[in-house]
Amino acid sequence: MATIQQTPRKTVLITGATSGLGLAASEEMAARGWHVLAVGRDRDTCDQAEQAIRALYPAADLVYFTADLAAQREVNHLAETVCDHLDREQRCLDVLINNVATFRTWYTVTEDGLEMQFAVNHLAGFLLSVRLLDRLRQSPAGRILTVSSASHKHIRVDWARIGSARAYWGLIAYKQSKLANLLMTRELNRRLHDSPVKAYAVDPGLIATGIGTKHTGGLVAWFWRRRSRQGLSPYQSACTLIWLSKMPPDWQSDAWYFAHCRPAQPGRNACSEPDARALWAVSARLCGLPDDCLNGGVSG
Amino acid sequence: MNRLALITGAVGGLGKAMALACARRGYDLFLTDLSAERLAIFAEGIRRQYPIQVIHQAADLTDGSEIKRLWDLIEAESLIFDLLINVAGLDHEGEFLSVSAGQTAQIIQLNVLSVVQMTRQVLQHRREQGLHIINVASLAAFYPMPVKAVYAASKRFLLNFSLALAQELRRENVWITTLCPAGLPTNQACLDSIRAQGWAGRLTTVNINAVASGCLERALRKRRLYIPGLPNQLLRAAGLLLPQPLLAWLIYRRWRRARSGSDFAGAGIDHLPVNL
Repeated sequence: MATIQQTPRKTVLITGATSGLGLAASEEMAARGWHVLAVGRDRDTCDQAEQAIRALYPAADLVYFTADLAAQREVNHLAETVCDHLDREQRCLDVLINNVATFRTWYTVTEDGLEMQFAVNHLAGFLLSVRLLDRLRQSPAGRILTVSSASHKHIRVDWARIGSARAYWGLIAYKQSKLANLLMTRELNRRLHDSPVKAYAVDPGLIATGIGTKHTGGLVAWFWRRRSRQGLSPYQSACTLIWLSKMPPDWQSDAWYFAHCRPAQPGRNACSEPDARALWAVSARLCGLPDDCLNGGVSG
Repeated sequence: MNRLALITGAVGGLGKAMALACARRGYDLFLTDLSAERLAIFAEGIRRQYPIQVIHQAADLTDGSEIKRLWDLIEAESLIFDLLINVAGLDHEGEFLSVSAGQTAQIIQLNVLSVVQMTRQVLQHRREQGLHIINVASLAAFYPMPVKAVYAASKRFLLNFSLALAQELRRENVWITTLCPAGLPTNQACLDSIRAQGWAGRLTTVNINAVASGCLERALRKRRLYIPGLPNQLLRAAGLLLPQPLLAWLIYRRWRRARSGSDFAGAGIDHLPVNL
């Protein structure tokens, strides 16, 4: 049986923690003795994930929360529950990992009237980051890690008009949401420049997970199964997340986009400051928040 | 002042897409559905995206007295409509005797009676310049469908009712469009059923935002019938060519084969032979 290493016990929240990269990363972090707050959509998959991890690490310091992050109501509720939990445990939040993502072949609308991939892949992470920022500020080195993808490249978006397009292609909506991950990370760093909290985006590489098969079927699922066979294991991919999470507070880097534990080159459109500001404005509006929500005392 | 659209079944998959399509065109919205809570959440979501007014009122349209209460409220607010979209509809699938009498009655009350009542009411609360009505039927309206007998017949009623009324009311600047979509990728059960049909499901399925905006566009051009997707138009043409008893036989046979040959659990494949 593996032993649990005693290093500084970070508190980490990770979304999409019941399968694929999220499951591997939560297992790796539990193995390091960190206090892991794992978020999954339903009780059953959370229980399965917990059993799998506890089978390896019976002493894992692991708590599961259920929330369907497609609904802003549930994201807000999750943030409240997590804050209550942190208060009880008298902890701050060291790392927030926005990992949750979905792929949809067919256009799907959330209960808030938003396109599903934009809502889950980008807005859920945006809203959670805003709501939990106060807790991250309490940490000596709060980190917001957002799992993006190299597929954010070669795509353009008119952020002011996001969601109003009549045509829908699943892959394009996916690429847009992954570009949004990078632009949000960029804008978070700009807005938090005078705080110890830093935001990083991570390219997980091509991983053998189920994201391309869960809600697709047919050709897309077939293609994804073939493609993902050549992919990394989720554990290899989780390395970058672990590596960034355990960096000491005085670690400095100008880079904000990482792949395979190294700085990577983001796509050209991910480096546009006007786009980053426009995305921020539209994200805040769609979540019913003021544009300066990071300073507005809305968190907690 | 913006034009005003009334949408029933507004927080279902197609209802939400219809509401967003109307919002994009600058309509103010009056939304109704069963759940007040989900209506409020969705209404707020639309307001954040579009600069329009959104009113919402929960109502159970299978209950005639609730329809009356809904219109009393509309009257009290003296609202006048430019567009009515009857999206609300339901199905309890299964062989006739396996579905309870109450469930069968519910299908007829919602799919048939509520649409007739809503149509009558909106005609008394319309603008003089014109009123558009969109009734959501189904591709099932073109076939006798075993296992969905009451549902398919209710949609046939809607189709014939709408086409006939469209003719009657044309001179009074009322234009009625009937939407006949195939199965729509709205919830998990529908997605499973589309997937279970393999390439046929894939071919007949159309994105709901395209269905919604395409339908609205055609309604405003005063079209009477809209079947989204070329494969579905061909299916409908095939339905016109073949004798009805033969169609019923073919559909029933395909359903039974799909059921026996499939490892999909209950809910999924109880769905249909052709994706209607």
